[in-house]
Amino acid sequence: MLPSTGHSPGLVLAVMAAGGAGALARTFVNDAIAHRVRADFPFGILTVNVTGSFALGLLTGLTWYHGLSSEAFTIAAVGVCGGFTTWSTAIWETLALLRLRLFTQAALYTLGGLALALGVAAAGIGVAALA
Amino acid sequence: MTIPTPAGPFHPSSRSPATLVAVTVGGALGTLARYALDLALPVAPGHFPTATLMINLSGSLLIGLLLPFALARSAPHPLFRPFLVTGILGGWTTYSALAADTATLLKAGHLGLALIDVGSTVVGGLVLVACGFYASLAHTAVRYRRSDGRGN
Repeated sequence: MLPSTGHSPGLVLAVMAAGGAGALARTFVNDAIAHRVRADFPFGILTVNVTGSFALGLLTGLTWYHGLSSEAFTIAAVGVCGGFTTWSTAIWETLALLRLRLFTQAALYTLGGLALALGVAAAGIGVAALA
Repeated sequence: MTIPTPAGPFHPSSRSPATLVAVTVGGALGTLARYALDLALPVAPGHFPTATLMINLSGSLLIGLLLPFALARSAPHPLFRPFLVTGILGGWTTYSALAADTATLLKAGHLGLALIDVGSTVVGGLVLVACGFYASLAHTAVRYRRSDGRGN
């Protein structure tokens, strides 16, 4: 995924700042959705992960088809998208749903969520190809 | 593990400035570590994303080990969860790279590699988060409520 570029101190700091901002944004989005949608189903993190996957697909397509610089890609993809989306919480939620014996929701969340994320990532690449 | 409790600690306004700083700093550090492993194990587009798999599998084990302590009756430091779990583990692991890597593998015609990547992330991740969870459960009195399932 990662273009092998040099890693200047400035780029490293920018990736870190972008990752911190992504994590902060994840907290706000998740909190806002979890507060409004009072369900066992983890809509908050699903929303974060699906939108982040679309954004990364778009960035990937911009790199392929429009020559987005590797520095800009690294900051936005590794930093923002990587800090925003999360796997650890997603798989924790799967375990939590399984422990609550909500098997259909667990399967829907895990497999459906991945299929959705994969679909929107591909759509992001496609949008960039058309643009 | 009993009763669902609405909203609970997840009200948007309930986050203190210290919590938000902990999430941001933790997220920056987790991202730095992921970036370092990405650079150490570079993956050409259309090849198997080993680094991301290692990152997400280790993150699965670590959240299973750590989150029970955040949910324990004798709660740890209030910044334990925002810093270590939401920040560092959230910044370390990534969902978007998994999705985009898989899309890239499929586009390159590597259906087998895509299935191995997603399958090992999901199955391995679930096994590891469960191992971590039950290992920690043996060492802490978890007060586990439904709403606590929201790992973030």
